[in-house]
Amino acid sequence: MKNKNDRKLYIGGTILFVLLLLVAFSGPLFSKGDIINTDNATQPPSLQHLFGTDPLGRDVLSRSFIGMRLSLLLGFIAQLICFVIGVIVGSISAYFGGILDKAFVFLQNVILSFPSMVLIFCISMLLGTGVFSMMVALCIFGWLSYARLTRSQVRALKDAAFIKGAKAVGSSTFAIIFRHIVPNVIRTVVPMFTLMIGHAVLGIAGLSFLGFGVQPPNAEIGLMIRDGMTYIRTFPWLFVFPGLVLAVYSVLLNVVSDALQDRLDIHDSANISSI
Amino acid sequence: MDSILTLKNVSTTFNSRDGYVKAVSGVDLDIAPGEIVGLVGETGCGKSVLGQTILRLTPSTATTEGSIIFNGEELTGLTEEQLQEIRGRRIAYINQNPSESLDPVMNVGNQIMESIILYENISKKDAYEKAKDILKSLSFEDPETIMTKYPVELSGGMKQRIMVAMAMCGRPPFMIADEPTKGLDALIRGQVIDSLRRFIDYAHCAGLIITHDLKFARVICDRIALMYAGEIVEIAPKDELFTKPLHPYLDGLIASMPQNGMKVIEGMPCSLIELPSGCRFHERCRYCTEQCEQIHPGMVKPSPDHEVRCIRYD
Amino acid sequence: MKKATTILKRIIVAIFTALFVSFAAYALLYYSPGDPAELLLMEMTGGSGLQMSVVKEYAEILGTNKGLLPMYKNWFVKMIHMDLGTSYRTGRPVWYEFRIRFATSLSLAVMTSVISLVLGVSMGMLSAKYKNKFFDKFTRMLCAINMSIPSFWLAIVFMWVFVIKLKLAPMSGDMGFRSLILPSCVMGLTGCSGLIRITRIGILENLNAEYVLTLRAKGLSESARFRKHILRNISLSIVTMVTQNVVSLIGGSIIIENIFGLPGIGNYLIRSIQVKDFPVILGFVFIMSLTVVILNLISELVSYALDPRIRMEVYEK
Repeated sequence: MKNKNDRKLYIGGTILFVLLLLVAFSGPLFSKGDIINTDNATQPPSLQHLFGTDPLGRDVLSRSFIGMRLSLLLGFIAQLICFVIGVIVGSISAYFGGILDKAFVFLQNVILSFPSMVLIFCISMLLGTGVFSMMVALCIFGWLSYARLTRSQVRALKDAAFIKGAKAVGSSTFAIIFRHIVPNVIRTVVPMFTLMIGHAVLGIAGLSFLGFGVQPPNAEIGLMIRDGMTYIRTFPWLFVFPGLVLAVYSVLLNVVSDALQDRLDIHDSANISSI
Repeated sequence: MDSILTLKNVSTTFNSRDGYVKAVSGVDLDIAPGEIVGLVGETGCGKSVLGQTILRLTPSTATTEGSIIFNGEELTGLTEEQLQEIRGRRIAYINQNPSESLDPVMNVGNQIMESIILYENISKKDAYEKAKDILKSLSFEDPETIMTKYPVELSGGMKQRIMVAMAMCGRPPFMIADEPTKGLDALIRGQVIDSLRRFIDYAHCAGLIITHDLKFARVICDRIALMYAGEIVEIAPKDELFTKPLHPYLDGLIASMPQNGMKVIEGMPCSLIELPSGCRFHERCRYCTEQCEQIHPGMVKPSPDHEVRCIRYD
Repeated sequence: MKKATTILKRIIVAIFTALFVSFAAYALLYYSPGDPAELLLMEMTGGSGLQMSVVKEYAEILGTNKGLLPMYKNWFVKMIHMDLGTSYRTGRPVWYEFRIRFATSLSLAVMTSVISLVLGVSMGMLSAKYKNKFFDKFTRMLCAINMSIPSFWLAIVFMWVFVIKLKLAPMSGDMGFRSLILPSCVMGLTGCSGLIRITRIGILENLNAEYVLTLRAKGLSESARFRKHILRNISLSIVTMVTQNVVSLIGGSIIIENIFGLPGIGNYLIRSIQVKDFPVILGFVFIMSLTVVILNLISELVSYALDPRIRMEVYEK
């Protein structure tokens, strides 16, 4: 049961997120973003440059937004791929069970017990560092969450009365999966999708920070923080502000996910009959 | 003053999202020592809330008015600490839904022993022996094994009897049992009734048994109070209640019993948030008059120990 | 008896999984571009003017000129005899290399877990106690923000605040216990949000559970209800969460080790991956993933011991 305050937070958070999304994606605003102007290097935050400028005179605020746009886009694509793979694998594994399900569980254990950074290093050794290998790494870890959720959902639904009913009236397996199970599963997976974009955005920043993801001279939050770290003694705004921007987007993605869950959730009906 | 428990004008209201739920309104009830009173009514009529109100076990959103006098002591004024001394030791409470009412991660032996140690301050070893005796007296076949079991490993009827055993530990002079036979099949119900009887004999206690099952109430109780929409609408010794039912609602309930053809009462119970004007039953009553829609009837006494809330007996 | 065979089976599966993981890491690297002998010589000589004959000879010495499976077979046979081989790069036994770095990584993991456990459970309890009061709202907000902050950023900000501004801790490097404080605080903070959440939700859900009504009706005091019953009921989810945190530390502390320049397992493994030091990779990854699977197994056994409902499920299978 959610109270009014939560609802307000959800609505406010979602509106703010949409606004910030517009800000990040409306390009013309940031024409000054990647302009190198060494006369203007390492300016502390001021009214003109709210987050200051970097050693090449670029505006940190605009670059943060440009970086966020890239991260959000990449995160969205990665999660879309994970979503599709996860839902398909999860439902197949749960619906058909048997050896397919056992194989899935083993694969899941392998991925979960793979030290994450080691796998990422191996992938980047194999495929070279860059956006592509980063996306591969994100997908290898990301699809599992969808698959696990879908699997447990489908398992529960498989025995649900209405599915048995559909079987009894002779619906085909295909029809049952797509007409009855998929819509039910999507209801729970969609809030997760939003949440996972948030995780992916954090992951992209982390990988780029380590040098595996987006490469310079592109603007990216993780890269900006890594570059800013060099100037930790002198120009702290170079790493403080990009991190804050990332945190704001990530918090809002969490709020939107909660809001979606609140909207779509079926368990959450008021229950006065208990009195 | 010879009653052990006296309720005077007791009302309990919940503050919910949709408004104030008047779960119990203006209940008066006297229970004599050793007397078992049944509280019968449909789901949602406030009978469970009344049971919880006596020991202030209601959720924090509830407010209670009126007076609850137990053995000459006013319970409504007591602090939480003082009430803890009453709960279990003086008044036992057997919660409904035994499947959820035992701690799932503690074995039932320890849960029973916890009660014994709490009331008697004896060693764990003695408590173990006592718990075993209590289970034996409730005709559990293998108390020692039962005590090592966790709630999840026991059937619903077993859990209900464990709840009875736990309530017995304090040998209280009064007990409240909320729906002790709900959801049990006939055979198991018999066992639970037997356990309750042994409990009553053992503690020589009075009690309030809350149930929706008239037949069960007739088996175990001395007197039956009928509740509708938060009020007691009729109260009488059990046999008189069945032979001379007065309230139209009771007529309906008796007619709806399986052996009488299961004729349902028309209409739905009224909302406890927006109570109807006049008699709370008038919308479903076939004797309904204009007066019934306006005047809220008081309790009348057509015979010495039979009371009813209906203007037809004024 | 049944219990013992189940556990044995699980241990075998665990070892098999760890072997598979280390083999996968090795195979991925085997097929990635670059020859170990060449990479190592480049690192030793500084890069330029390597002669092919020298590289070939060195590969012969190291044994890296064999195929994927023969090399794996060599490693596997030795491993069964408790020998993890020697590092190509340093020439020292892999086990030795692991051991001298393990202390740092282990103390980091332990300190991090203690910090997040103490902070998480106590804040979660207070948050539940003052539900919907200012403290609770404030804590929940902090949690939401904390979960959205990248740990590497937090590490740098901490460094800036505590090392540079306040000069409370050493900059970096191996200064024993003192240099572990800041990194474990950072990781402890990152891990505690989840614990606060589950502790709070667990307590609130249990407070409303029917069994707590029974306990109140018994006359048990609030503190006894909490100590003897509610804590035990929520401990299960806390144990699971802490294990998950430790598991993620095994793979994820590399970034933090890097930023703070700690001589941990992660840092060393990364350098070994870069020069394809196969024995180190196979050995380290095997031990690390074995630790992960064993930890998960232990957490499962603990929940098996704590929760009879899970026991029932296992029996029903």
